[in-house]
Amino acid sequence: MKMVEKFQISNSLAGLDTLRVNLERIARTWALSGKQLFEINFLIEEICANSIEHTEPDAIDYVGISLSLEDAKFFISITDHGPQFDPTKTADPDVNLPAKERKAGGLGLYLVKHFADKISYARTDNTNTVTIEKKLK
Amino acid sequence: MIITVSQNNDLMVVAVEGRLDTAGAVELEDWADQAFDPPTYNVTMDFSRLDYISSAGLRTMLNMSKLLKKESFDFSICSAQDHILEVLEISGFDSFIPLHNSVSDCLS
Repeated sequence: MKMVEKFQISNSLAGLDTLRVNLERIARTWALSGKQLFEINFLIEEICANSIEHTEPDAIDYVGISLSLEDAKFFISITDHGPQFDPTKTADPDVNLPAKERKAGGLGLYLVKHFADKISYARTDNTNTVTIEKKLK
Repeated sequence: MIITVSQNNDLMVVAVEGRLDTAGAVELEDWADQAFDPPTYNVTMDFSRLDYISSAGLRTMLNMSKLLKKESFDFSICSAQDHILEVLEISGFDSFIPLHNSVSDCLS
């Protein structure tokens, strides 16, 4: 059986709250564990946080989110109309550096790559689409 | 997010309840800017009731750790749930922020 959920959030801090509410509802419906809910929320929030950062404040738009579960695998798709941004091409931070040599940034997408089993990016018709596959564990 | 501060001799225990997400990180960072201007005690974060951390929350932990250490105070994290511990460890934060099982472990 395949289960699909689709919803939209605004690419703003309020939108991330809508994301949380939707995911908590989906987690109840799909009987997800706390850890699964955390990882799904983390993956989507970090991709959206990038979209929020890369969008001008006067250009609040909607981010489309689709989440499906089939054959013990999650498929997440996130689409936004912001500037072109490929999260698979970002440089990884050096996680072995001591605190004082650490610079802000990069850690979110580094963790996204850790939690995702597969991540891909496409740019079509001025739209960014990030697709993530994650095994249900 | 609820921030509860309790004092234990020279240790300030900062319990954060709820979500240290993109919005929560801003709240905690604002609080820390006031509370640690300048820092006067060693600090441990009690994460026993923290459900979520984002990269923004991690950045706040990095900033708080730097701020305290610069003034020669200790900064540590106690009682984090497994999924939050995992994020702290993958990020390599355990190399510069001691992670304790409980507040009492931190006191001893």
